[in-house]
Amino acid sequence: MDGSFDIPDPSDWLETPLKGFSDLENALHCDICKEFYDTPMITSCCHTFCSKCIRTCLSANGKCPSCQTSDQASKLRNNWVLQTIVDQFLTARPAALEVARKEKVQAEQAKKPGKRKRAVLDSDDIAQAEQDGRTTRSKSRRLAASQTSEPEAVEISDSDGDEEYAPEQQPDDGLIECLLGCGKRMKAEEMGAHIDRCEEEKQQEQANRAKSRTPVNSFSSRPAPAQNTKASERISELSYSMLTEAKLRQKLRDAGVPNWGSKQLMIKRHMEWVNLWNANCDSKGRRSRNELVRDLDAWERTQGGRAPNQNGLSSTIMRKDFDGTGWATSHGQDFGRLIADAKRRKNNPATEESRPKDVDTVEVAAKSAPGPDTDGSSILPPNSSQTSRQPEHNFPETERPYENNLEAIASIRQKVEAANAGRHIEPVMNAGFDNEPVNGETTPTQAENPVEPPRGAQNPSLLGQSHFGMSERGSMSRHDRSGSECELPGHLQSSPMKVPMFAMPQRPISDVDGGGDMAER
Amino acid sequence: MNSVASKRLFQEYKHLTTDPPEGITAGPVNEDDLFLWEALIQGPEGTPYEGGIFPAELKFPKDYPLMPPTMKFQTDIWHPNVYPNGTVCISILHAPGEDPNHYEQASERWSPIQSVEKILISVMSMIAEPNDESPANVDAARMWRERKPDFDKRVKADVRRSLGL
Repeated sequence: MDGSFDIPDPSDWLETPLKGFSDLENALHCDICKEFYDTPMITSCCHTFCSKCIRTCLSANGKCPSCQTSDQASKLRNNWVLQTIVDQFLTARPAALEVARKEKVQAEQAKKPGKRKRAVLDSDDIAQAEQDGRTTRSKSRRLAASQTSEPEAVEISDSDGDEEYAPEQQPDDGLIECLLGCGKRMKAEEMGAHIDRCEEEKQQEQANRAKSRTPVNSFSSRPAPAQNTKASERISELSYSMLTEAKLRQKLRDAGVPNWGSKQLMIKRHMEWVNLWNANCDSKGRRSRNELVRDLDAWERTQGGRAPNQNGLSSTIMRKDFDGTGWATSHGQDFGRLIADAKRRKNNPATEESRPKDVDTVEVAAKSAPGPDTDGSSILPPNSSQTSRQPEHNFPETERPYENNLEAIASIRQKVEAANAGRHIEPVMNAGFDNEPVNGETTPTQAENPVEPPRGAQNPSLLGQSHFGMSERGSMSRHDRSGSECELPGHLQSSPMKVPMFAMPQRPISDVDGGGDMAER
Repeated sequence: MNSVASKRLFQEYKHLTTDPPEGITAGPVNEDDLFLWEALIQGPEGTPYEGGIFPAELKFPKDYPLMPPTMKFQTDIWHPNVYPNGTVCISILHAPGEDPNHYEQASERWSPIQSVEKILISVMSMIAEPNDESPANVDAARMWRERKPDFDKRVKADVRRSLGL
């Protein structure tokens, strides 16, 4: 618990003989922030909280957190006595804690068989301290005083300052002390002149002492008339519901506060600013406006418009209940495809090879889960459909990439309807492709086949395996078309390039089972 | 980045580690994120929950302590005031204000002067003494009211199962 970074905590006292101090320290904590009172304010229901804490609460729901009585921020009054107590306690705390801890060590040593310290200590006091676990201050002072090895302990217990002043023995140097008791010593002949001066000095000193003493009991920090006038600097909350967004924006700008964001955010920001500002007005150690602006910025980053995210959890940490295996299973297909893609690209950096693959992935994406990205390099959204069943296609497609293109949507719908009509053919097509391990590493979809010319040459044998005329003819005819051009190397590049983006799905969907041909007929 | 909420949560965390109440352990799952806590609550002695350890998750809102956290048990716990999905229904976890149904007084509800420690202590006493006036798990509440021996038996079986016995 020792160390310069030690944060004061009531539990510090629990391991010392001064266990009662733990409760005392708890009593000096604000119930809202659970820290020492900072500018305590008393409510009209006589509860005390930090200025900032109670102002935040009142602006949130207008009720005292302790007793739920309605209250207003303007009725808060400073509790200066408590402020002084907290300040003084904090000043005295480290030394007191040190003494208490040392005492514990001593007590433990005294318990040991050697009992070396017992000779030094008043054994009655020690025994009592051991018995009831707590000591009065006078007792602890006696204890401390009896420990000759710790002179600082004596000083500490004197810190309450009401000890009698024991004058030193006057040195025998032939000088006379000032008759007015200022403590100065001088020759007898200087005394007359000194007394005149001393009188003035004394008066001045008294005035000074009156000033300098006040920080100790904090009278000077009490809002003297001067501070009361400063209280008028406090700003009041606006009746936000009466203000239009533009007016509120203007008000924020006038206050020198950021004015971006929605009305709701601006209201919250203004309330925070009012609370920060007024709490600063309450406190005796005023901070500069810049510091308040910095505080507001911290608020913005943690609770305002630039907060990490809505639920307050940082995005870098994975949710505990995140279903990793489920995600991996449902997206295994995509991961596999991406890995295969990357491998292929690495092996064949030639553009001729990669271009058709690009088309390939676009089609896969369009079929299984169409996304706005055409290179297929991003992971698809978790709710996207993984199967290539027709009815599921049209929802995401109409929702996303072709949203604004009525023509494309109409076209897609038409094709989908057509495809739905002949859907029964689909599984057999799949089976046919499964037998053909040409494209093993990518998802075998029917759509790939006709558009991917390199496999064109293999298609006849493949299609020969399927036993239904219609789709065979459909695919064949398509193949024939592309097959003739397939001989031209230039076609590999030009064909995908020519097709406009929104029209992409037309081909795969029409190709799926020859539905396109059906529609044509 | 140090908000009011994280400062206060840190304060409470420190307090709970140095001076924990009996039968309760709680702290952030990860010290980088003070807004997600895990708590372990011992089944109170003298109740059918005795011997059980009930892990729960506490999620804190950004504007904590103005608003209360939510609490969810991670294991099955058959209790009138715990929803079947584990969410705890107890007045101290309800946002400040009046209860529209007048089941509970404003003073029982969340207020910034409450703390994680008080929540966990309340939950512990809720486990010991269910409140069947506004049950979250109606079946459990009915069982508790009408067939107490069956209820006890079921809870004990759950506890044994959760301990792997």
